[in-house]
Amino acid sequence: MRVRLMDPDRDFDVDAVEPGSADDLRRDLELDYLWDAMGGGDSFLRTVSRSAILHSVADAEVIRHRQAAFTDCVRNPDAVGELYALAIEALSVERGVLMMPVHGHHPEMSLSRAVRMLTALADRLERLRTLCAQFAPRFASRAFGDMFAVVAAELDDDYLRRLRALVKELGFVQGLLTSAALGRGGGVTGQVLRRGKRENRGLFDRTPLKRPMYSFTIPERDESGFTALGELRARGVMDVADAASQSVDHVMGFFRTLRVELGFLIAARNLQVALEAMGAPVCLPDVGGVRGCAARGLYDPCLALRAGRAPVGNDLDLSDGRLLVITGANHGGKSTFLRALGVAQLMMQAGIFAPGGRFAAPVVGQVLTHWTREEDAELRHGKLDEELSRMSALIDVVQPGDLVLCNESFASTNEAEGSQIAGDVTSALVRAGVRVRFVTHMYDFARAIADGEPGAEFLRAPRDPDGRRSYLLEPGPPLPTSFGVDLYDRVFGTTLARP
Amino acid sequence: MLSLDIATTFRSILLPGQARAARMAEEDALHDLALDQVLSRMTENAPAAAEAFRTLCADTDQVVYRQEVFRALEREDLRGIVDRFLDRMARAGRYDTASATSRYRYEPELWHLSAVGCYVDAVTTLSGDLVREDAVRGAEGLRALSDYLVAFCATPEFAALAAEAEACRKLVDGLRYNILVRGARVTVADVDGEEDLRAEVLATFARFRTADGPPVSADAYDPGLDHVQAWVLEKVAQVHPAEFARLVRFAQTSRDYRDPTVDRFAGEVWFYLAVLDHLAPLRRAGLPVCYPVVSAESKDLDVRDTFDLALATRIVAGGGTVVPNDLRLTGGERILVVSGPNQGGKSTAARTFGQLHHLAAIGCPVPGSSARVFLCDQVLTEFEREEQLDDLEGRLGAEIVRMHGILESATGRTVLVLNEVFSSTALQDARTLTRDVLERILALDALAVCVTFIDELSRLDERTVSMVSAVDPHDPAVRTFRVERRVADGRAYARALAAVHGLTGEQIARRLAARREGEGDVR
Repeated sequence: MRVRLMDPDRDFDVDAVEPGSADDLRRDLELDYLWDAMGGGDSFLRTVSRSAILHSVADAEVIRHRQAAFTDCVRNPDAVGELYALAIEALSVERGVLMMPVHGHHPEMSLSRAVRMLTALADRLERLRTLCAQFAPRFASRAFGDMFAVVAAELDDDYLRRLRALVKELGFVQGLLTSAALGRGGGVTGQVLRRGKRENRGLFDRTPLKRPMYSFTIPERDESGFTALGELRARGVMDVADAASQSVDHVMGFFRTLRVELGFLIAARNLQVALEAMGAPVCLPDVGGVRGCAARGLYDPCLALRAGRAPVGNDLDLSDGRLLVITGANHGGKSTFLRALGVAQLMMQAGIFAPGGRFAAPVVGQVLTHWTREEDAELRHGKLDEELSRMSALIDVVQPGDLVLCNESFASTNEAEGSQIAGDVTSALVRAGVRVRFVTHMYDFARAIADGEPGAEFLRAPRDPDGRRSYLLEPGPPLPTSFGVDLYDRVFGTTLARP
Repeated sequence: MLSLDIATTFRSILLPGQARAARMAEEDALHDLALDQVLSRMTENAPAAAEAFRTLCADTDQVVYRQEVFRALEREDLRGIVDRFLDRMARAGRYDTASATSRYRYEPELWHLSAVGCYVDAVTTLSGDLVREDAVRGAEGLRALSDYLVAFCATPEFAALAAEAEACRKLVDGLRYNILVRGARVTVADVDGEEDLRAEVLATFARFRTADGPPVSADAYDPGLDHVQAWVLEKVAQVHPAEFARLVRFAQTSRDYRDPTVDRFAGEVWFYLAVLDHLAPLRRAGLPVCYPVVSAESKDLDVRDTFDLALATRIVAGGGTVVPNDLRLTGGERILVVSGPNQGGKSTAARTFGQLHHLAAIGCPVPGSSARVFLCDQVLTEFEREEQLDDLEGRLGAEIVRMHGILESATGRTVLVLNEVFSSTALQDARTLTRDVLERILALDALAVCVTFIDELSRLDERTVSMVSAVDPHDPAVRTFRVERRVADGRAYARALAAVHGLTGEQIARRLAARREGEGDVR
C-alpha cells in the first residue's frame, strides 16, 4: 500500500540528507521567505516545503505527476484537508500504546505491541477506505486515482475481517504451540507456529496434543530457566512478530507518508494563496517545452513575500539557454532577476507552480549559486581567495546539465584579474555542458564572452533617458560603461554619464 | 582408529618422502627482512606452516617440490577445492570441541555426529576433486596426496564410518515434535498434522510488508543448549526412543575417527595459502611475481623488476605506485654496496636482497618478473637496533659483538644483509671497520649486500658492485619552493591563486572529465 502522490515510483523522503549546496541556496535565493509562506506557521509543513524545494526533481514525468496532483488539491481543498486530518489522527495511535524500545529484540513484546497497535489501526484503515471511496470521483489526477485504487483493493471488507480475527488469535490465550526440529547440538530449531487440534483434547486433560506426551515444569525459583523459556517462546513467534511489526510499520509509514505528501500539496497551496492575495500571478510551468528558457512577467516570489506586494515582472526569451550574461546598471534589478530565475527553476522542479504568467524551461540537474559575499570580506583568507575556494567547492559537485547562478562573482579583485578568472571559469563550465547565468558589471568579462562564446545571450539593465531605473531588463550586448556612474550622478548631482 | 595399510609414500605436502629441511632462520633476521608480517598469517592457526616458513630447504629438490605445489595452488579451481576442504575441516574441529565440552544428555553424541559428517564430507570431496583436477598432475606432492586419499577412502573402515554417519544424520534431521508452552509448563509430543498458523499470519500480513527480502525467521537459528532445551531434548528422546539409541551407539563406536596424515596436510597447506594470499593484492596491482630458478652451485643473482615485499604491501594498500628494481651479481661478484642520498630506497634494496634469498630457499615465489637465485644455507642480517639508541658506546659495542657472531656463523653459502653498519662511529673508523667486514665476507666467498654512506667501499675490488639510490629531480611530489626572478605580470597573482584552487580553464575541464570517468567506473 503506497501513497505515491509526489512520485509514481517512490515515497518522498522528507528526511533525505540535504545537498551540500543547500545552505548557499537558502542564503543566496532568500528561500526562507518562500518556506515561511508555504509553512503558514506550521513547522511540519515548513520542513516538508524546505525538503521538497531543495531536492529538485530532474525527471519531467515526476514533475508533471506532482503538477496534476497539485491541480486536484486546488480543486478539492476540503477533501485533501480531511485526508490530512485522518493521517494525523492515525499517527497519534502510537501514543496510546505503551512504547518500549523492544522492536526486533524481544519478539514477544514487540508482537504484543504490534497486536495492540493493529487493533487500533484497523479502525483507521476502515475510515481511510470509506473516505477514499467517497472522494474518488472528484479527483482527476493519476496520483490521487492510483492511491484511491490501491486503498480500495487492499483494504476490502473480507481482508479487514480476517486481519482482526488473526490479531485476536495472536494473543495466545490457549498457550503457545510450535512444531520444531533438532539443531546440530540438540537445540530446538525450525519452530513453526501451529494451531492445536480440538479433537486431540482429552476428557480431563484438555491439552491439544497427540498422546503420549511428556511434560516438565520450570521450578519457581529457576530464573535462568524462565529466561530460557522466554527465549524459546520468542523464537517461536519471531517471524510472526516481525511480520506483525512490519505491518504496523507499514501502516504507520503509509499514514506518515500520506501526511508528508498531502502536507506538501497543502503547503504549495498556502504559497499560491499568499501570492495571489497580493495580486502576484502564478502559472503551471511548461516543463521542457523550450530549449532555452521563456518567461512572462517573471518575478522573485521571495521579494514579493518580503515586500508584501507584487513586484515588476520581467520577460525572458532565451533561444539557446546555455549561457546568459546579465550586465548593466547597479540597482538595476539584476540580482533580483537572477534570484527569480533560480527560485522559479526550483519551484518548477519541486513540481509546483512558478511565479509569473508563463514559465517554460528544460529540467536541469542541480541548481548551484555563487554569490559575492560582502560579509566575508574580513576573513583571514583574502576575499578573492574565499571566492575562489567557494567556486572550487562548486566545481567539485557540479555536473553536466546543472544550472549555475553567479552573482558578481570575482568582483572582489580588480576588473582585469576578475574578468580573466570569470572568463576561464565560465567557458570551462559551459563547455562541460553546465548552464550558466552570470550577473556581472565587469565589462571586460562580458565583452570577452560576447566575442568568444557563440551561443551566449545577454540581458541589460537599462536606464531611462532621465537616468532612473525601470527595473525591466532588456536583451542586448554589454555596454562599456558601468551604470554606477549615473547612480553617482544622482547622488552627487553630477552629469558624468552624459558629458 | 583406522589401521591403514596404504601403499603410498605420501607423508607431507611440505617435503618429499622422508626428507628433512635444513636450518631455522633467526627471528631477528625475519624481522629485519620484514618477513614476519607474512609469517604472522600462519603462526596463529598453522604452527607447522610457520615452521616451514622459517626453515630453509636442504636441497633444490625440496625447493622444486614446493614450487610445484605453489604453482598448482595458484590455479583458482584447485585453490577453491583446498579452501572448501579446509573450511569443512575447521567446522569439524569446532564440532569436536563442542562435543568435548558439552554438558547435557545426548548433546556430545549430536555434536560428534556433526563432526564426523563434516570430516567425511571434507575427505571424500577432497579425494574426488583431486582425482579430477588437472593441476595436481604437475606437482609430485599433490599427486602423492591424491593417491593416498583415494586409497584411504577405499578402506572398508572409512566406508563404514561414512555410511553410518549419513544414516544417523538422516534420522536426526527427520525428527519432528511439538512443544506447547503454557505458563511454566512445557509439554512435548509427536506432531499430528496441525495447521500452520505461521503461514496464515504471514500471508495475511504480506501486503503490509516493508522490508525487502525474506521475512526474519528463527529457522536458521541454532542456539547452544540451555537447560530448558536440554529438558526438551530428553523428552524428545522419549518421544523417539529408537532413533536416539542408534545415535548413542554410533558415537561409542566412532570415537577415534581422525586420520593423522589428513590432519597434517590440513595444517601444512596453510604455508602455501598464506604466502599466496599475501602476494595476491600485489599481483592484482600489476606487480610481477615469479618462481626463481634456484641453484645450489652458482652464486649468480639475476632478478628483474623486483621490490620490497613489505613496502609494496603497504604502498599497494594505500593506492600508491611501487618502483621496481633489478638486482644482479654475476661471475665472481659477491657484494652489492649501496650508497646514495637518503630517502632514495637504499634500505629497501638491502631488504629486498635478503627477502629474495630467504623466499627462494623456502621454495616460495619471489617479487620480480624473472629470477635466478642461489640456494643459501641462511640469511643473516645486521640492522640498527633502535632500543639501544641512547648509549652510543654500548650501541657500537653491541653492534661489533653481533657482527662478530654473524661472521662466526656465516659460511660460504650464507647471505648477509648489512644495513648502515657502524653509522654511529667516526667516518674514519667506520671506513676501516666496514672495509674489514667486507674483506672477511669476500674471504668466506659469501654473498652480501651492504648499505653504507662510504661509497669508496664499492670500489674494494672486482667482487664488489656499486649501486646508488637516486632522487628524481622531476618528481612532482618533491616540492622545491624555489624563488626565481621573473618579469612582473599584473595578472600573475590572481591566475596563480586560481591555479592553486584548481580553477584555470584547463584544470576545471580536467576535474570535470576526471569525475565523469570515475563515475563511469563505478557504474
